[in-house]
Amino acid sequence: MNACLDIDLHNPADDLVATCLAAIAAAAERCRQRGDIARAIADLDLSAMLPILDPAAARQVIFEAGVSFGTVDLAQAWHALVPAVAPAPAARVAFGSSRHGWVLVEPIAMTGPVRLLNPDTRSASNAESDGAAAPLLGFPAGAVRRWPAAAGGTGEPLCWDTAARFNAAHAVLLLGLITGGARVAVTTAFAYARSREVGGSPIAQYQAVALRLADLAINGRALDVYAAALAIDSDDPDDPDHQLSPAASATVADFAFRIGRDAVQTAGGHGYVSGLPMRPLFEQLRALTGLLQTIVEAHVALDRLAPTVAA
Amino acid sequence: MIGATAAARSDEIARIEAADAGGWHEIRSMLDDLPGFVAAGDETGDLPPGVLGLASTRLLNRMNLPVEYGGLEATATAVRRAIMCEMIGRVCAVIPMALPGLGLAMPPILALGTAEQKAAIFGDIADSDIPRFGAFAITEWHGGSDPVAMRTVAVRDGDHYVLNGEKCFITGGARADTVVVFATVAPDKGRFGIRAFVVRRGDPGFRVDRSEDMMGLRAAGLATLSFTDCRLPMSAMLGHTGKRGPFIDAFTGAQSAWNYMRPAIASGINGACFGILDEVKRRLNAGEFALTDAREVELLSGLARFHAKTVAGRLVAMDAAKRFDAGDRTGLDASLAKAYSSTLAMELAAFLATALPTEAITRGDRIEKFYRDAKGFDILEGTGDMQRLIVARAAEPRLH
Repeated sequence: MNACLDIDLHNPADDLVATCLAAIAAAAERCRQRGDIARAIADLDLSAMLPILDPAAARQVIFEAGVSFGTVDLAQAWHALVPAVAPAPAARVAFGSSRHGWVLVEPIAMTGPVRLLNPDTRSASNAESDGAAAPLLGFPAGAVRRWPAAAGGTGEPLCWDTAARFNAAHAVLLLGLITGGARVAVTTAFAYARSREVGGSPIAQYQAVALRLADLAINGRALDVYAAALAIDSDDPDDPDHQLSPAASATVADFAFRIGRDAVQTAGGHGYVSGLPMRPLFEQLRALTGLLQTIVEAHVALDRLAPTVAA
Repeated sequence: MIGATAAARSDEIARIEAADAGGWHEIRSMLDDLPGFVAAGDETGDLPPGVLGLASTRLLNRMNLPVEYGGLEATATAVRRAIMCEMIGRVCAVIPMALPGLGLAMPPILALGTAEQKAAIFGDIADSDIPRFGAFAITEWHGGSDPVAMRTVAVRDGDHYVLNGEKCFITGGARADTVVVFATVAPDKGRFGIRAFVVRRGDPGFRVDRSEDMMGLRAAGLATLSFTDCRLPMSAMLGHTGKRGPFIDAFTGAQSAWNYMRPAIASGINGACFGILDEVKRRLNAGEFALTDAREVELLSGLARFHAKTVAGRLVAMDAAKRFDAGDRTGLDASLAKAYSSTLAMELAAFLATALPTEAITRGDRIEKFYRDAKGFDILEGTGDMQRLIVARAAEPRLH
């Protein structure tokens, strides 16, 4: 079954996108009921769909897929969506330099060759090992892999366009996942505050809690619209509100941090221990925004060399 | 002011050393070796094996005991505790919460206990050759900080009290041998019905139900304790003379514990902030971070700003400690200090996480651990919300 492509391709592009988004929303809703995100995303066949969309529409589809499946399970959504949105064959790319070594962040550890992008030699080479792995904050099946500076061989010349598209697609997907996770944090905090009673009333009725809930809603809305605008609206990497702008990604990290922090605090000790969704979301939002920032920083490092690399 | 405080601090340290040179040097040497245990404590969520060998059992047991009962000179006053906690917090703010000693269980015994109870409990611990652990059990699932909602009850039965209820989020609860448990003897009387009982590990009906899997502060350990028809002699009630119970409610004793501990906890948090600032500076100088020049400038200016804020936190905590030592009512000051420092720590953690994103998400990196611990500072020992309510409701907000 091909849920996204099961449509009339002669329709105007808007309809194509609308149909695709509806299919994503429906599939995510089914996953919320019964699981298997990997299967649902495979059925959507996004890698066949995305190339025929215009770039802004493709970014919107990636972003919305990140949001929809991210509200179900961030780790599974990342794992299933990365191969779908990353231009083959670069599913695993480590960023760094021959000065500081390389790093690869994976919410679920994947297998396959790893490409080391080297801005100094303007090349990409295959890593000879799988690197030294440390666990990733918030994702028990994930890893942060590092390679020493010496690991970068001469490799092949780096195709700038491919690297830039890869980075942009990842940033867009991460913006979607972060938005999805933040939505869950906000709604969970509201639900908790409305059901938890202290002194005979739901804590949501106490002003100190109510004001924090308001901040959650405010920051939640700001993140929602800002991340969507970053992800979708800009094609111009020089635009300060482009998905690969360092200041913009730091701003997203700040919104997500405030949301995660306030969600934990709403539940007090209950939010700090395992059980409720607040603790994993606090950790996962940091991990995903950290990954976003890592990609954006690396992109900027590459970008400075773009004119010579493009050839 | 800052310079004067630094001088006052070294004078105070000189006085500690003069009063108990052996104890002081033992503490210093423990701090030298403590860094080797930090990662294991975080990973296992327990006291790492071997950490109890860093100092003698007698020294550890006597931390935070009143000096007149054999307590350490280094923890004899609130100012000293603040200095010590900051110094220890620079190395690790978490493992010390799990080290032996009565900890938060000490002040209610001091405030509420009869002379006999104090002599028996403190003396027993000061002389013990095995590590002894205390815990302070007041929080319950329903209404963490609301004494009126307390559901743990103590019912008189002849010359015994029978305790029933459950306590949650009890720091060190799983390893404690001496737990101060708050329960109501008259649910209709609100805080005036509350009494404190000393429950020993092994008392029938007292059980550690489970340990929580905390995001950070993991080595401290957090447990749920239950009391099921736990029969205690009347002498287990703090302030009970054997003939009659105490005239004051035990909530006063809980308040004394918070006033006692909060300036120290704020100082430990300040120490954690100073420690992570040092760590980041060291690694920056060693070239460990992959930063552009512009990002490095940004990081350095942030480090300078947060250093200043942490110095302010140290002064606020020290101010609360001085007032405590002067015998003032310090509910406001203690809460203010703890709220300031825990807010600061979370801001600093967020700043570092944005400035050093890869380090902040790599488990095992000290910056990552600080990020998880910092959130906990604003929750343990009264959440930031509770501290702010206490400050806001202080009858006379003595701000100077």
